[in-house]
Amino acid sequence: MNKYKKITLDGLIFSNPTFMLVLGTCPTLAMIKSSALSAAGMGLCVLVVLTLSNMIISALRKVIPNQVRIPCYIVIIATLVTLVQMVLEKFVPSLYDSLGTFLALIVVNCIVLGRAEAFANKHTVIESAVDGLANGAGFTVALTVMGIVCEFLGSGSVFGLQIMNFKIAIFSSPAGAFIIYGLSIALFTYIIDVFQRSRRVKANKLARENLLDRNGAETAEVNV
Amino acid sequence: MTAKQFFKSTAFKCIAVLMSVLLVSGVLLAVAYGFLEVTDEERFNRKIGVMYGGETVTSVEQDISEKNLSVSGAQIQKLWYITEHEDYLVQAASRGNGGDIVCWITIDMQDERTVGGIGKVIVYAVADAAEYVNLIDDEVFEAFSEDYYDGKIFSYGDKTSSEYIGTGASSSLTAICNCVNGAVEFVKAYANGSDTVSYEYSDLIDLTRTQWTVNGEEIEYTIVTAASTDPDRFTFTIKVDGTKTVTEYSIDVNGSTGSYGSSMSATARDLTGKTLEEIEGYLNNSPAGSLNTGATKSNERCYNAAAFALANYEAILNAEKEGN
Amino acid sequence: MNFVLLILSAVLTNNFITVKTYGICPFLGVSKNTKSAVGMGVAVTVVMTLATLVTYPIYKFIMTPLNITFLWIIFFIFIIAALVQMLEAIIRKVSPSLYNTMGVYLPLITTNCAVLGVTQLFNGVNDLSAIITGATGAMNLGWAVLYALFAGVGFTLVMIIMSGLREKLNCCKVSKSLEGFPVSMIAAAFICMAFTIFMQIKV
Repeated sequence: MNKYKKITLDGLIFSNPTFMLVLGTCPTLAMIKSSALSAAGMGLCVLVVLTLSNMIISALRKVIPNQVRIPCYIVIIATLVTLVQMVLEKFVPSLYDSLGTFLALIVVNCIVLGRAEAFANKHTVIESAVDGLANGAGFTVALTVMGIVCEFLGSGSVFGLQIMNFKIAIFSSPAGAFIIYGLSIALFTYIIDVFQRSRRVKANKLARENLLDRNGAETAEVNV
Repeated sequence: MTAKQFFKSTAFKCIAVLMSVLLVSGVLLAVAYGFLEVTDEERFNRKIGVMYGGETVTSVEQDISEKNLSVSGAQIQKLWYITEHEDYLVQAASRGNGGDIVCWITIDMQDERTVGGIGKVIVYAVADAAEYVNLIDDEVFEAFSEDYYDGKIFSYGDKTSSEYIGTGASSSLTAICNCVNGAVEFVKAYANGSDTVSYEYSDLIDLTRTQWTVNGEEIEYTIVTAASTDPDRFTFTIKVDGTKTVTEYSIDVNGSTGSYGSSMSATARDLTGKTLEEIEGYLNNSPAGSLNTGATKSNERCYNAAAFALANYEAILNAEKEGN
Repeated sequence: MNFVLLILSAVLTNNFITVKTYGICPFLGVSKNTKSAVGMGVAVTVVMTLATLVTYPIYKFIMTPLNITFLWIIFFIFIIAALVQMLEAIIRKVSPSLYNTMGVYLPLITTNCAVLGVTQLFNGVNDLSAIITGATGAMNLGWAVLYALFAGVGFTLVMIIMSGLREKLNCCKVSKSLEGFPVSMIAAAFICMAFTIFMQIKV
């Protein structure tokens, strides 16, 4: 069970694709500047594609020869993206419109191909599925949070709901998206840093105490 | 290499796997497409549904190929009659800053021949550069139906300017106003079975505000240019007589913004005594010192107004005679 | 006039990086010094132009009549991948020096969204061909290829500006958590802001 916990935590936090690895930047910037809803929608699309592609690629990892693995992955991912695109256009046309060109560009999103190459072709189907879900969720949460911040600053609303009556137009433009993204990365890495440092300090303290205890015990033994 | 060896080689395995992955994907997608295909008709109905709050309506496309399609700064592209609501849906385009903005406008009818009001206005499509359109509030679109009365001409700046500050969408908004004005004008004429009159050089002229009076052989025009920003509207008084030359030319309202007014060429400021050929020469060839002064757009409007007055001289005179 | 409008639109008003946010990965990843920025920019320009040149007729004359346009993602990405492979092989053979300056960036380009984005733009898969139709009244292969070429020029321009900024940034002291991506992104934000002024261009 511990294994899955590690995969989940890695995907969500310690190697979060958006904040720690800075992958898939194009859709991130484009979506957070447009609205929180389309940012969340984009996140969910990537989540679905990533999980399915991870599972399929992991299931086929023994069949696909090493030399043609990249073209095979691309075909599988492209198929999934096309499917998602068709489903969205049929059933959720409003989201389909707001995602625009970037829906198709999930194919070239480095997160999807990156996870296939780095994880799915070495692990079992279930592990890959968990990895896909975790990374997808990490991406979705990151996009949604930044989307909310951008939408609030840019038009005073959150998920289309008007909260305050003001707008700072720059946050609905790529420039604002860059600023919010940059600052978010800085904040995220800072928090992780502090967290890990405190964990390290705690671990050191524990180790020191252990050492002292053992030393104490040893001296006691010697004394005896 | 024998055939047997080939079939056992990695190369064959690579090709076989890749081909089968491709084939499976293709078949899968073809099947999915069969179920999930969105036809053009469906796409169109979806768009129309937005205009009528999600209900399905029957739209009958009207044949407008015979009509004059350029009306007050807008280009009318399509016209549908919506049977359930007995009103018209107009698709009109107008040039914004970075390219065309295409609007859909529903025109409510009081009875078969009279326009009753504006139902809903949406932006149907924009050229890529007109991304500022997204910054325009819904209120602005709602204002079109609220503020409408017979003879109303919408223009950018109608609303208190504070509502628009920061949107930066002045050009787009002007284009949308043009579309709405054009749609109303067009439907008015269409419902009456008549046609909006086609004038030459009218692209930059606001026909709904432009007036003229005929005194014998002489026509006195008060020409107002179409709404725009940089430069603003111009108003001219131009007289043309039987010799088909400009006998009087004055700029009543100079729409030049910034310092462009002062850099306008002298010719543009006084076109008295010029004929249509001369002005067309200026417009087409832009000789040094006329159009290329930095105040290009202001100059262009000055020449256009004069060209409009001269080119339509006979048509207006004839119409006047027939009327009498 | 149309020609001028098209160039201005492709290079400045609709710049791929600062307005459309395509191709951000190489923009942030390969802009550490001017030499690599130019190499990447040129490589992207070449591939974008060639990809448009190839995909446009395929979409128009093969896929549309056969009614298989829904397969465009697979088709285009394969074409781009094949194109990149071929280009890399050719350059390596013909000019090793060119390969060293530009060719090394080629494999990265297959997954560059600017390339897939540009092919998508021109084939009217989404209604985005309006900028071209707006400029020329009709879209054809010539205009599309020209637009792709100048979009690449715009891309290269911003890459060079960014690399200059980052070379300067290297000499500055920034707080630890802002180092690397965050500070580059804030620098990029200023480039974007500067580019919004080109929205005012009227032709």
